[in-house]
Amino acid sequence: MKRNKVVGLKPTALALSAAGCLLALQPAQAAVQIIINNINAPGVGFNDTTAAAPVGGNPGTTLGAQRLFAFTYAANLWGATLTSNVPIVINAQFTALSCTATSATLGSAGATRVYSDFAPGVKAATWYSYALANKINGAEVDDSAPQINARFNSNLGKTGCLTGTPFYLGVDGNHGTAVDFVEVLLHEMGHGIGFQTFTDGSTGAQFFNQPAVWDHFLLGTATNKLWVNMTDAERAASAISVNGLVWTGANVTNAVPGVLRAGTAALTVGGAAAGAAAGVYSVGEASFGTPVGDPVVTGQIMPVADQAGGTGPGCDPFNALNALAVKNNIAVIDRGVCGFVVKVKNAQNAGAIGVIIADNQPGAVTGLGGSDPTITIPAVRITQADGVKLKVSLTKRSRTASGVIGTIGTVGTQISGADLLGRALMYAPNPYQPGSSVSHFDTSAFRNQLMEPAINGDLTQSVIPPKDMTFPLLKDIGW
Amino acid sequence: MSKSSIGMAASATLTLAALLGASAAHAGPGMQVVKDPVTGELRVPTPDEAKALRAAKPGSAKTGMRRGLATGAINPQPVVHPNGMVSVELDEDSMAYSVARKNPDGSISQVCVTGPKAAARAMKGGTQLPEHTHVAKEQRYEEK
Repeated sequence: MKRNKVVGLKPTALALSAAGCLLALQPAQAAVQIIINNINAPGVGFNDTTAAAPVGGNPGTTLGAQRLFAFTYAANLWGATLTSNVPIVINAQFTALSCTATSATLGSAGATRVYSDFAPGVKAATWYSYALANKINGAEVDDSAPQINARFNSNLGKTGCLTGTPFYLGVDGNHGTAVDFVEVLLHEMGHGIGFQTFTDGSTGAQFFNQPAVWDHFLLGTATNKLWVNMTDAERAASAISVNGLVWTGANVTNAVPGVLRAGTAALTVGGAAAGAAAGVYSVGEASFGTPVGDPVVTGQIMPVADQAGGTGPGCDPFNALNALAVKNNIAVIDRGVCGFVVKVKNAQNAGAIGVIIADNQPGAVTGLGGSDPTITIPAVRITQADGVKLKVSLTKRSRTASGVIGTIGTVGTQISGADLLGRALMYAPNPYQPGSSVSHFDTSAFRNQLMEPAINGDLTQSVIPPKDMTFPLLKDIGW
Repeated sequence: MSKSSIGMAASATLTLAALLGASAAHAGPGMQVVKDPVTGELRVPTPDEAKALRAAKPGSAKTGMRRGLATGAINPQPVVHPNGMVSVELDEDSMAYSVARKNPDGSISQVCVTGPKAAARAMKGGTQLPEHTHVAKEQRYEEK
């Protein structure tokens, strides 16, 4: 997995010591100025003086300074992408938000106002978020209030607040099991600048009887009507149509083939010694490493044997025999004891070109979680039953070859996250998920998209093709 | 609400805009007004109403009052401007909330929902976190 480099986007962060301080961000390549209005009181939030060690490209030495740097970094990513003559002002703070030991509100963000009929040529009687209205108008449409409000949980990770899982304030994406603040903020800012409808998808009712500009691009395939032309009942039905809600904007549709993957991830097994193991296997994909199919990887499949004195399968640096077996081959490693990223990294260090994790428990195949930006090979997971079948075919082998050939790639041509006409699917689960439905890309999208309802571990801080379709969608609505 | 009713609401909320604008220099952005439940007119809150407002969190379902994100106005309504532009101040119900929940296996699932009620439900597990997909991609990840 690759991450955007920090170089060239170094935030112009200033230490803030008092509430109400305005921080103007204007990196060299910025196309819109973003102003962070720190509304935290002295000593708390962005102004928290608790000592902190620099982490992941964040040089701050206090908790407040690190929060500010990470916030600034994410804001700069948007600032370098969007264009507008009008600065985007964000009222921002870290404060106590709802949480329990096992759950928490990480943060919230949103536009402060919506506008319609604010400039010639805009869609009539249609709501636009504040910052977008300013951008289209070319000047402030109203009275210069902040366009976005943003709050984040100051207690995250403390006892009783998703205990032990704090924000990762580094900017290198290496968040491990912590919550990547930059990705969360990028996502929430996306909503704040217009990535949402204001129509109630559960009832179909428009916000004060007017559609959002979003609704002009949202199409229900069952009726072939845009949301703007539907009745309330039609919109409500469309919002729970699962695979029946698509985005029709030209920028997104043009981006789909280059961003989303054609075909379903799979492991294809063949070769002279494959025997009964030959065939196509369903796989769970990893949230780290190279995405499946990018590129396709083919090689001898070799098992990783338990090592004398080892702590678990694949959990320690490989001994000479295991290293010889997996070098330039695809390693099979049993699940268990240590994290997936540990196993895959050890295999990569030994020269493996891909990894198959065989489950150690029965059940449906699921994904491989974890984060390690230094892993650059693909990894997939197969069920316990498939693992048993595969390993039987590997019983007779030399130290460097098995005669069983594996291909980690894709099968079929269906684009993951688009309909048969190549239009991006929008999230429309049944039953309706308040707030998640409609205003996100569908979870079937792959590669994973910033504006899916879940923030996936393999996001890359990108909002543009070839990795992401967020900015194309924003361009469709007027950015 | 029809377009004409937007206009009617706007005539009232122009008062709100004027009221806020006139007093902003004195009272600051946190000034509160309420819509009279009988007359529908906007006015300063009574002591009891002010007490209830102080006790209520923004967007509180307990009071049913919604507080605007730009000025703190209560239950914001559309405003028609002299140039024909219409604006509405949004409240917490339109904000996107990012919620995290620890799964039984120790992994963390995150989901984005809109509004404080949906966020509270997601925290309690009442919202189906999009771990399982319905098409091709498996999104439930385990760490080990």
